[in-house]
Amino acid sequence: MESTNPQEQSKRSEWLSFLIICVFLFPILSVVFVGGYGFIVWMLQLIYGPPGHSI
Amino acid sequence: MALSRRSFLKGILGSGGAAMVGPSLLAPLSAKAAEETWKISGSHWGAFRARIAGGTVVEIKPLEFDQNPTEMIEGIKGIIYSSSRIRYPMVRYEWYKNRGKAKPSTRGDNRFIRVTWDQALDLFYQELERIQTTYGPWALHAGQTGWRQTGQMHSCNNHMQRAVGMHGNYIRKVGDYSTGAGQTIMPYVTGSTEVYAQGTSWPLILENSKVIVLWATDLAKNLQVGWNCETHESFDYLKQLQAKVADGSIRVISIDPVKSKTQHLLNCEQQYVHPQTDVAMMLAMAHTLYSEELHDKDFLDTYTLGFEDFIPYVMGEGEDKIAKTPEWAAQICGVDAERIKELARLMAAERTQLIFGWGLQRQQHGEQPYWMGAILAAMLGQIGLPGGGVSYAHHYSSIGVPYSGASAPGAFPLNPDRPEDRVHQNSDYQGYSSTIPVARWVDAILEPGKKIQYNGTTSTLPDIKMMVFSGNNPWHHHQDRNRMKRAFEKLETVVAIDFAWTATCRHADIVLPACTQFERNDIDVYGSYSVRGVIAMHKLVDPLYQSRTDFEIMTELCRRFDKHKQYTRGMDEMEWVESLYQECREANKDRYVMPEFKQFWQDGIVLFDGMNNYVHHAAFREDPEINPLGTPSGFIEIFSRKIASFGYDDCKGHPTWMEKAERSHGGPGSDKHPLWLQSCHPDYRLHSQMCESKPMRERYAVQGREPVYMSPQDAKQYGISDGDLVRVFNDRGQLVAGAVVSDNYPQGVVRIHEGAWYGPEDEKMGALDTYGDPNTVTLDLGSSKLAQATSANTCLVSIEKFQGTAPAVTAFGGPSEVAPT
Amino acid sequence: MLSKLKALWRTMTRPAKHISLGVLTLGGFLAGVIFWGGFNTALEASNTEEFCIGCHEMRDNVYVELQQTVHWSNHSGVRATCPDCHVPHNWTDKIARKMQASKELWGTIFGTIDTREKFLAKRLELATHEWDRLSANGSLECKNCHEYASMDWDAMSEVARTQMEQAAERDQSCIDCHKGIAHELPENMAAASGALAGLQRQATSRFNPGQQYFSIRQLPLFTDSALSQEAGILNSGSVITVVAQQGDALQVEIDGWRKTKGFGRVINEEFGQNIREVTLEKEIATDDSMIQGFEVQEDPLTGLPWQRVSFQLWMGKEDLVDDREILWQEASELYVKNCSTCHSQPEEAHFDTNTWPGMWAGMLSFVNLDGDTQELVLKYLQKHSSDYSDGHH
Repeated sequence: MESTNPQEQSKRSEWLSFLIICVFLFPILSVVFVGGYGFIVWMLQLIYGPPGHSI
Repeated sequence: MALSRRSFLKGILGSGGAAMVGPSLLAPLSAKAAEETWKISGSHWGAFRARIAGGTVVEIKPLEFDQNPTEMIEGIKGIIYSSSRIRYPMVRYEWYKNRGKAKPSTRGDNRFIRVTWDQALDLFYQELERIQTTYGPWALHAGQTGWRQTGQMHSCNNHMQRAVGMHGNYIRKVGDYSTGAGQTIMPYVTGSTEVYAQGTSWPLILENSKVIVLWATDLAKNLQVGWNCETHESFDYLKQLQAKVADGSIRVISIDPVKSKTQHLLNCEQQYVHPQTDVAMMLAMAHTLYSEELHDKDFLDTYTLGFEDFIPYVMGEGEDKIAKTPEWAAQICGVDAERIKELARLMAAERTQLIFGWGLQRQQHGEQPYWMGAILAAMLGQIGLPGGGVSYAHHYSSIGVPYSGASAPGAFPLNPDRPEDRVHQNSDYQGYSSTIPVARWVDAILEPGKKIQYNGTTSTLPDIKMMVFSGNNPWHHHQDRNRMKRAFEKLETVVAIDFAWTATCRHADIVLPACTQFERNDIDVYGSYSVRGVIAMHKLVDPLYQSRTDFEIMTELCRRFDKHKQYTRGMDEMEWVESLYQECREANKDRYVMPEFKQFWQDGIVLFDGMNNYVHHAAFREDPEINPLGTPSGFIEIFSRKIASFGYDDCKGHPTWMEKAERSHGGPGSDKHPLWLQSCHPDYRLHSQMCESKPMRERYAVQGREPVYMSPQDAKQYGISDGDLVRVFNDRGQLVAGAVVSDNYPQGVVRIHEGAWYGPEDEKMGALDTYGDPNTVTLDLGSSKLAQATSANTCLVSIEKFQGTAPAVTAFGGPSEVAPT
Repeated sequence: MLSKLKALWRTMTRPAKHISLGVLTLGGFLAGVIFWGGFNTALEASNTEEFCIGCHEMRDNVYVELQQTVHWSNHSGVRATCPDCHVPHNWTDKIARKMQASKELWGTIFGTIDTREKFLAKRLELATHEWDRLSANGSLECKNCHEYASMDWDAMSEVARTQMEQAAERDQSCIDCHKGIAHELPENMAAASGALAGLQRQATSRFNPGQQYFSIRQLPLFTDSALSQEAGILNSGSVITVVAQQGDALQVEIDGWRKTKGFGRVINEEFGQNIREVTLEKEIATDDSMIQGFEVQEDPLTGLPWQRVSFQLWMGKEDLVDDREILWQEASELYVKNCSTCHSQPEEAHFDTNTWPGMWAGMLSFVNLDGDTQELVLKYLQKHSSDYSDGHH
């Protein structure tokens, strides 16, 4: 089924974008950020030594 | 039932205490008469098996491993069932009644009252508390320790010092009565105590030595006993040596005024020397070696320091301008000058092992013969070679027996656990020394605050008010009884823990009955230095009378200041024994397989088969730079700058011949009291241990008294016959002994073995000793400012036939029990 | 394709025209909830024993060993699993640890420790990482369950109580003493003498140039960073200063004094005091290019001349600590414990520095100490002798 209606077209792409953002982009970005944070902490630990008392 | 037994025992006491006690009468009543078992145990006299029947030890036979058992094994039953056993806790009557106001002169009156264990321990604790709070740690001397009974768990010194140490600090000793001078001088000379160091193994001596010089050492007498359970393996080598003497392959020369037991065993030569003059003889030998260029110059250059500072003294270029020629020495030591030269040449020509005993250093200036002996050995240049060099301990505790290399079991800890959490933390000794030379505590009591020189430092003698002795008998091993008596009258409190009524107990205020080692479970090393194995010490019978193990006594003492849990670490006797075994098993796991504890306890012994040989100082000889000696320079110090820096007149920078305070054969004091009294280690006892064993004593006592050995010449001169009772005396005291006339002894020399129990006629100053303790008459004098060691062998006496009826022996059988009023 | 992506980008970056704010927020919120749930579920899944032993490296080695210990089976029925101890509970550190696990992933893929032999060879390194981590955080993961404040001293044996109270006072890290509590110790450590094993567990793994470190036991010294040419032996309890690091090797500087009689192979810590620091090989000791010599002084008590020297050599990184007091504390305890057997041992300050070696040698026949330990205790006694103490005797 082919739709040529630009209105329909933009609505579809809006939902598509929304789904991509919700299901792929942001989750992946979240994981990347969290992982990146963890990686930076790890690297810092390599330089400054393992974490000390943190209570 | 118990009541009747008690009154029975009282009856025995009343009848003089010498009555033979049928062992079965003393056996715990619960034991069944029919039961009969064999158990294994160890002792200073060796390992043995004991047959127990009806709760009584009925037979003791040496362990099969022991090929050379001592007959002293026979004395063990006499220890367990002696009339001198302490039956219950007792307190001195006068002290109990008047405490601080007790009349000092009553000390030693032997009047005691019986108290309960709780009363006795309460008193003990209250006195510790009073001393710590009224005075401080400087007023309590609990540091005097001795030969104890064997067993690593129940070692009584450890128990007493741990318990008293948990309550507070106290005065300690340094050194010991056996080797005080030797162990202080030798670290400056060869860098180790030598007296307690492993020596060259016998197989290497037998193989390599051509000449063995036994310098005042009686191996066959002293090797009968050991610090731990003795194996007597040394005797195998003495037997081999005997064969080599017989076939002429080894020449053994015993340099000794007396024909020793060893000399008889080996059938070897003797070289007589006047008592206390060995240093003069050695200096003359050095003179000969040097003037005949027989000394090893390369050895002296490579391995020693200070020869050039010493030799002028020998050659007459020193301060005194006297050349120490053999002719000079002959006048002093009574050895012909030619003979001295001959001996020096012989030693230089052949591989020569010098072996010294300990008696030489138990005299005034006792440091000198040991130092000079090392210099002779250095001049001969054989130190570090098998069968050459010098030894100071081949008569002691299996030294020289090839060793297994195994680890021995540890012991119940002597020190309080860390962090040290004493009831009284006070460690302020108020300027007094916290550690004093072992033999100077009587000086301290008599002259508190006196400053004495000791080993490069100044000791301030503490004002001792209370003493605690456990398994320790200073009323045998210290010198000059009457001087001791004066000192003891100044003490406020004396506590003695023992299994038998020694003279120390007699002079104490609180006496606590420990059980013997045969009434507790324990573990010991078999062979102190050879570590031939580990031996179980099965409890043969339950503690007799009201006696308790030291562990139990001290746990109960600690309970009074709430330290009993720390004291025991929550473990009981068997748990301790097992843990000592387990630690040992763990330490040996790479070398020797040891069975599980249960199996070990059942077998009774685990043996290690390793036979490692050792050459004393070989590593040093091989590379003196990498393996230096423990001296300040790392080399053998013929001249010690360090000792010279102390500036002592009685111990200079090199060995010196010095006249003694008393010396026989024309020396000082010999015009008044002509005989030299030798008080060496006994042949039938271990120090004072086993003196109370009647079956053993009967073998050597003369009319119930300790023997005094003397020459036929002296006997004739003083009108004494073999078997007579005699009075031995000098200005310090008097004793009764039984004469044994023997041509083993030269004119002017008498011997009474130390360890004879002191039994004064009464508590008065100067009282006659009824049994024959030689230390009634010995001199209480520091060997020198360096070691401040005992000088027991510097002693002159007179002797006469005892006139009239000698008083009964009071040394054995315990006190007179007084009813409390 | 590119134009499609561009269109998508345009849509994403502009306000929505067709979907209401409510729907977008609700959709985002729901997606967020689902995502967070999924994320945590995944995180937790990676934090389970099953996950850990999913790799045979873990299952066949450390997991088997754990099963022999009290952390696996005990009378209270509480079990510690892998992540309880090995994954930090604090979020940041946990995430960092998860990232660090990428190394383990790498290892799995390339089979770094895929055989028992490879694992054993690498065990010390791996264990050191964990010990360092636990040392740094005061054994936080242990303390999540075991607290000093909750310990009932009375219920402990005397030995345990004494040790524990001391540790509690300093809030000591559990791992200082309890290495090897859940897995086997690295081979060479388990073989180490009972006495010094405790110290070896406290060894430093981090070195700073210019700082001083102290040897736990006798350690070989080398002329090269490959640690192939032996130059001598560093004695127990001796001081070195780190100059540089290279791989597994440290370049160290040693200063001391030596007697001029002989080859000068024995380097002592101070002038006139026989406190051995290093024993050099003869070729090294006599090589002036290796050993820098300074002033010479005569020792008045022996008459022997002593020379001050300094030299640099290489050594491994094992068995060094950064605080000498750790060594002295252990040595002092060993001295008190072992010497209790015969006599009340002389106080440290009873003898002077140069008398101790002789006295100590005489005591050795009666104690069960290996060579490393003997040397350490001797050095302790010498450094606390009358020469270094104000005590009176």
